[in-house]
Amino acid sequence: MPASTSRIIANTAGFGACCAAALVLAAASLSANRERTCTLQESLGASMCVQPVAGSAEELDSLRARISRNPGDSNAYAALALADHSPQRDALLATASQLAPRDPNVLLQRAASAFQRHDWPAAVAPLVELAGGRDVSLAAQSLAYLVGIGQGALLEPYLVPGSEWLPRLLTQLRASGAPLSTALPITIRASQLGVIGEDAVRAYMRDLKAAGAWADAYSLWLSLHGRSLPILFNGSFDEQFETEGFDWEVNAKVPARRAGVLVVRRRAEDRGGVLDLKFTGRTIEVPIVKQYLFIGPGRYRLRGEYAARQFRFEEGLSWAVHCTKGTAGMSQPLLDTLGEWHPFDFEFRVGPECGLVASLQLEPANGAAAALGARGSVTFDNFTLEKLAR
Amino acid sequence: MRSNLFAFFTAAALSSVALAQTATVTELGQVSVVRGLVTMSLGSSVATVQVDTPIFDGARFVTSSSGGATLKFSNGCTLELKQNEWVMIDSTRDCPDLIASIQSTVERGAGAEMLFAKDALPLVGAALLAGAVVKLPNPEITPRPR
Repeated sequence: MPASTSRIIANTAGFGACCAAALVLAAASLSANRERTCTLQESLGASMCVQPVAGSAEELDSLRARISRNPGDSNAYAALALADHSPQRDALLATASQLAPRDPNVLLQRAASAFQRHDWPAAVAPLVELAGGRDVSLAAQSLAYLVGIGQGALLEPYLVPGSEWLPRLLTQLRASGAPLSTALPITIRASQLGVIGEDAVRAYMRDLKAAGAWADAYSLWLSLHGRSLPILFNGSFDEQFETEGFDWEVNAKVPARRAGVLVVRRRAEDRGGVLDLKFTGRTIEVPIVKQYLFIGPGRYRLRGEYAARQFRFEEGLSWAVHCTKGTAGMSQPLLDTLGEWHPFDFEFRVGPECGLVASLQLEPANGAAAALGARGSVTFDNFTLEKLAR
Repeated sequence: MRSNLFAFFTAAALSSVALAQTATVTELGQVSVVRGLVTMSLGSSVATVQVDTPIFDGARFVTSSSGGATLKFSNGCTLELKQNEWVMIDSTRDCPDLIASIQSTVERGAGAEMLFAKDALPLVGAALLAGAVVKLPNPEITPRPR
């Protein structure tokens, strides 16, 4: 046999042996990969495997098989705890909670189980984790439910820096139409601890006001400012106006370019802050400025100062105090003063029927004149409110 | 001690305003129990009520939706304020009249209903269970071997 022929035969035999070895290895790796991927679900390709029907006996068997091969397979425990509806479920859930404490489905299952038992303390931790860490709206709804049934104190230990579940709870409370007041204690606590932003607190206060929960809104306002406040807030206009609370509120229904009056707080020489109004001749939105007063029954006197320059407005402006039913009192019409500062004051009586708050507001002395507009400027300063003897 | 000091200073601040305005202020008693948030208006100021806050003629006490207070008067009268109530202290009234003057801060039926009534519990529980069956997306927590 020529040497070349025997070399060809030897090469062919070697190639064949290599191919056979490759096939054996391929078969072995395929089997191992299928085991890893579809049985143990330890590969990203698991989604390509044919999965047993959820909750079926086949799925339970498959999960138990995974656990028997790898007792530390937390994913399998979590899945089994969700799929198993036998009396062993609670035990499985307890084990899954230890192995996969942050698995969202395990957390949800723990909360559901606690809800069924009316075990509110046990429900709180998983719900807070889900609502805060994962923004699960169902969890935030459930927390809102707990607050609504008076279990809000259970949530207070979870008010920690960086926690985000409270604003989500408030959003759910708002969306559900449930009484917002139920979240007042925990919101105040969160505000005191600095774990909720001032914007969220003010939004909540605005909602309380809109819902007519004045005592709650004012309690929140008070908690933001210490423990004591004058009924008339920022009467000197020295501080920036605080939105959504019980400070001065400027009517901003109309954009500035179409407004009948431009209202700004500015600094004036020798006076500190003043309230400045510039009338544009367009229709005036009423009230021009207002402040809600958390005021009890009794007689009061409001004093202030004003200066009007080139102010042309038939019958002038008035400060008035309105209750829900009727007007408690109003100032004399304020007219042009040739730019000089003049004092003004008026008395008013708040009756028990007034409710918890009255509205102090600036408006045209003749309401019908608002449509005609005005020209010139008016500045206010140094407002004080005093209660008078009966 | 701190709460007593606060009560003293609050009372002093409020009563000084009232003194300036009415010239006759007598302490009628003290707040003995406070639950949650309660405010007191006196003169032209409002303050948070604490235990031992003095009670003055003309003061208005208002409880929040989570608040409550017990007002004990030197004459033996006791007022119990529950949540969402207010009372104006009037020294000319006798005790039964004062108790009768306690008013609610919410109109009957207006927003007083609990949307989350006890009956709603099964719905929430069912929703939770349904949510547990419908799996939440779960990014890997236990890393898988690659």
